[in-house]
Amino acid sequence: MSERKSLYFVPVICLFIGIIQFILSFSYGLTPWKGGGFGMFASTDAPGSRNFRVYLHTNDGLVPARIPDHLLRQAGKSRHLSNANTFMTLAKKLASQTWMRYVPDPQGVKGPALSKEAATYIYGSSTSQYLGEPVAVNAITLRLWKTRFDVSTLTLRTDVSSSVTIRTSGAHE
Amino acid sequence: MSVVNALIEGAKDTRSDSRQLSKSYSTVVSLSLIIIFLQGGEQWYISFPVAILCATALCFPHFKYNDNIWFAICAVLVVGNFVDWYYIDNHKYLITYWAIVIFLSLKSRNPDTFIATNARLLIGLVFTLATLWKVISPDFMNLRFFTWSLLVDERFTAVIDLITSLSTSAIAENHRAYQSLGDLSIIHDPASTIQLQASPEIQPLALFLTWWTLIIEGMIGLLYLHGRSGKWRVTADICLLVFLLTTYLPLPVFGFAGTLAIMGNAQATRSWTSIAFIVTLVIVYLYQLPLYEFLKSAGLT
Repeated sequence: MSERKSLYFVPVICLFIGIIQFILSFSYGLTPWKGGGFGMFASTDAPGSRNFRVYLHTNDGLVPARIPDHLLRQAGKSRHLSNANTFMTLAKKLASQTWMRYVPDPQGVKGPALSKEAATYIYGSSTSQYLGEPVAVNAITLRLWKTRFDVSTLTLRTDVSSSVTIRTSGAHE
Repeated sequence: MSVVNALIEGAKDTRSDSRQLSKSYSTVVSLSLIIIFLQGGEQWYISFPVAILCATALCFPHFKYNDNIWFAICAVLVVGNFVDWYYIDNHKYLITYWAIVIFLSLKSRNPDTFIATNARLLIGLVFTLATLWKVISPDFMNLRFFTWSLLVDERFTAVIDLITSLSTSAIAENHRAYQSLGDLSIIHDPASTIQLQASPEIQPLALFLTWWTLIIEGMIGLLYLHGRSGKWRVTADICLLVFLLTTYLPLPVFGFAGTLAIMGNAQATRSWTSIAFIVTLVIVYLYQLPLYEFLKSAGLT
């Protein structure tokens, strides 16, 4: 690389990544706060304003589910870069999990962190003493909620920004 | 062993260049190694190798200008940060750019001019991009961003507590309400509407912060991109110093502030601005101390 080219190499890369970040933010769901475009402190569309909820379609109906710890990184990616591609990747990984019913202690001696009405499904071993048999999951729905701020009323409002549903491989017809 | 030998040979080769390197360049390289050591990366696969490489360069002076060491630092930062490109903060990008600048400057005929030019352009670009984002954002000019930040961003707690009449419990309640919406471990549907608590001073404060940020960042961007010399450069330096000293007091992001201060020092054309950037670097580092908690415990708030 010539002296002149190397002199402007890094600023050109900085500008290039800045332009790419603009495009990704406006067209591919990247939060303005991330991606090297220096859009932090300009938008309320921060990572913390985006949230996922996962729902399992079971024979008992639609029930909410907790994202397994080992998929939180993937969920984080989908939160920062919310588009169909990252959604589907996360949804497919969620669909490949074994989901088990969380059974609270009937005596209430060591109660669950969530209420019984929450119909929690948890995948993992740390709470295995509360896990029942694996449940049949026909499909999984992934919803992205975005929090918007109304400056005139000073209210936070959450809306479903996008949603994807995929059938699991062992779906029951 | 062959790798170690190669590194030592490389060190010997570049040691002869060090005679031509100015004292200010040496200072910039040392400070850059420190900031990369402290702020290069959060993940172990970045922080661990970078810490070893930077410590080696800092402890053994003949490794300080070693091409191989700097190439390795750049490689770790580029590859490590690329893995989490959508997740990492913007100052990780800036630190990576700056490490590449130092590496390329070692191969340059005039390292001082090389880093000065790159520092000026990078500062100008960073602030221009930041200003562009603020202008085109649907949230910024209408005060939505700063009103929201003041109410839900924990980093503004000290500002709100010291300047406004909003109670401590109301501030905490606002933070709790917002965080509950973004918690991935919660399974319930989020509440559809949450009313935040505010005080009459919030809107005027948001108005001031919006215009202050826009004007100072816009000026820094334009002045550094266009002001190659003379009084414009001094004006640019003063603006950057004011920005660093005011912005990072409530928002102690040392990775960003420290890198900008080092870059400011690298391109400074006057000795007093050069010293001012070093002093500012120390001050913004001290901003990380729990000053607000200290004031509170001393009953001064």
